[in-house]
Amino acid sequence: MDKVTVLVNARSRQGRQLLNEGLLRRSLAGEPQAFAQLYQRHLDAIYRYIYLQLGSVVQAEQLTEAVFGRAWTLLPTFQKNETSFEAWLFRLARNLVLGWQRQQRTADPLRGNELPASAVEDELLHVMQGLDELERQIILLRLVEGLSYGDISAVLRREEETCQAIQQQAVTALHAQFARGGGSQ
Amino acid sequence: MTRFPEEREQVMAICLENLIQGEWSLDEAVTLFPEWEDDIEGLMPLVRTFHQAQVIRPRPSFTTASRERLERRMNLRTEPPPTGLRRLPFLRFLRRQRRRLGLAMEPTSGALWPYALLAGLLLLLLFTVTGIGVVRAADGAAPGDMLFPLDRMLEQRKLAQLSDPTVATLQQLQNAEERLEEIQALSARGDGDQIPLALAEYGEIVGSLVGSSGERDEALTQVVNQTLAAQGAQLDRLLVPSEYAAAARGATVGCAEESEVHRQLAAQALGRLYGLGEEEIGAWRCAGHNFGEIVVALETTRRLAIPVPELLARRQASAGWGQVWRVLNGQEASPPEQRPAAARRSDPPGQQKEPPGQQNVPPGQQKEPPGQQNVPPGQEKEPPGQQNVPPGQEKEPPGQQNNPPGQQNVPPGQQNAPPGQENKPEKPDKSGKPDK
Repeated sequence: MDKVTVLVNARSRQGRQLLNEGLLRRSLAGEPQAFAQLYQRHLDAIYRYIYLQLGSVVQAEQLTEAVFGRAWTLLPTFQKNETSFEAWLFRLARNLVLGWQRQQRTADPLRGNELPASAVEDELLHVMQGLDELERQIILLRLVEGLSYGDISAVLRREEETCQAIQQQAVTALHAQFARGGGSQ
Repeated sequence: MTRFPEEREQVMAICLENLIQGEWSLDEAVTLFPEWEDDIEGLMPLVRTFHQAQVIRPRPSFTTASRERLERRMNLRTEPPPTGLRRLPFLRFLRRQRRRLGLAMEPTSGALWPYALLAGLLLLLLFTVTGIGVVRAADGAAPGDMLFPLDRMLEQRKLAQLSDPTVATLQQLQNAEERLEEIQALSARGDGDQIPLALAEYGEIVGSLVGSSGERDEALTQVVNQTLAAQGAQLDRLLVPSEYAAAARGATVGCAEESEVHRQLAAQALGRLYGLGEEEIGAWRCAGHNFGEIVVALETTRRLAIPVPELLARRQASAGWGQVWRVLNGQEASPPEQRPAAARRSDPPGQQKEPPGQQNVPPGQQKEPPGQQNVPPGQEKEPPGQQNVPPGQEKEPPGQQNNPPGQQNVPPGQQNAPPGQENKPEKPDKSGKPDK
């Protein structure tokens, strides 16, 4: 696949990776505008990832901003050969979410102090609630955000095969949940 | 039709993924796996639900405001390099110290001339009259000495020439050691006014190690852990000598009345350097953290925007600062025993251990076995072989310790948490709100 085709199909993993690389190179050289573009490119995904774990718009916004602030601070330590930038960002996000959840010690981490803003969000949060933590992570990263198993493995520090197996279990669980009418269809 | 293993779980997962991503239509999926038609059709509500996930986006007002805040923050970090006279290392040093101590704002360009003239004359005089001897003399200069800026300049130049991150780390640890020796020298000659300067320099050196934790392997991280622990203990002894004198007479260590003046002075100096109240810093000291640890925590906070109490808790629960930084920078998952007690999942609500900083244990006694609890603060964390070395005489360079790089105990590739153990992430600040 030539570069142009990949770029046109920016939704593909290859396309995202290629676009990230140029911006990342410039960001690592200390160019704030390039990092601002990376921010714009990944903002929705990081926010969604956090929101679907916390169920709180305010907390999701705060943690999303913290992810990018921390990413900018830690950018010089980013090891391009070890992981993709996308996986690195999601890893920062996961760390912040887990840290926040531990601090809150809420019995139900999916429910913040505010109600979901829409029925769509409510339904998704409900679906996520039926999964355990690791299944939820993999479903979010794979099915919602479209990360490769390699990237998911880097975010969660698990073997790729383990992630695949857990995803299969999670899908079966979700399927059963919907079959029972557990999804608010 | 036979391209995929036809096991139900796998088929469901493959179909759901491709349906969500729009790679396959329902008909195509059913054509590929006709025997699973009912199950595949049962996936469609899920597909619709996950499709809708893409509409979840942050509020536009947040997006705009957040981007503005991020850009402000980025522009702060990428402040343009000084030009002209401002590039002179001596002037950079002066400006930095003045800013840190809050003595003055950035001088105007016109006000730079006297400094420039002074620096030029000083350097000319130094190099023409005493030549290389000056360089050697500068090595032993302490803050407030005429040659101290030259000492720092030579150190920085030497550091800039090191391309190997391991050597650079060891050099920084050595430089930090020199700052401690200077604090000791200042203290010995009663030049207490200059100690904050040396403290600021020590903090800056230690802080420079925070961001480079990714370049260090296990063995070097261990060296960083041990060296900073030993230096922290030494710094504490230098700043609160009365504490150790009182301890020797059998007084209660940690927050002894006899050491109150020294503790206050040290807390004041740090409070001024880092813009905090001396009471807050004094409380951390009384809660069991030596001033060395507090300095490292403050520098880490400055760089990673993580609250000091959390950092101190993490330090207490880990093998050392090197490891704490690796975990915080996402280069290493923290094993369960390295997590702060307050963050352990297994603690049932209502039965949590006391968070660090609220323990009624004097400084330095947290990890002591029974029967050794009268050791003064900071002395328990020194690496073996250094416990009885007087301050300022710890000459073993960091790179010559027991575990040189390449001989580490943990083989490479075994640093990740094993399956079944969660990674232990960093925590946001104590209010539950992230840094902005």
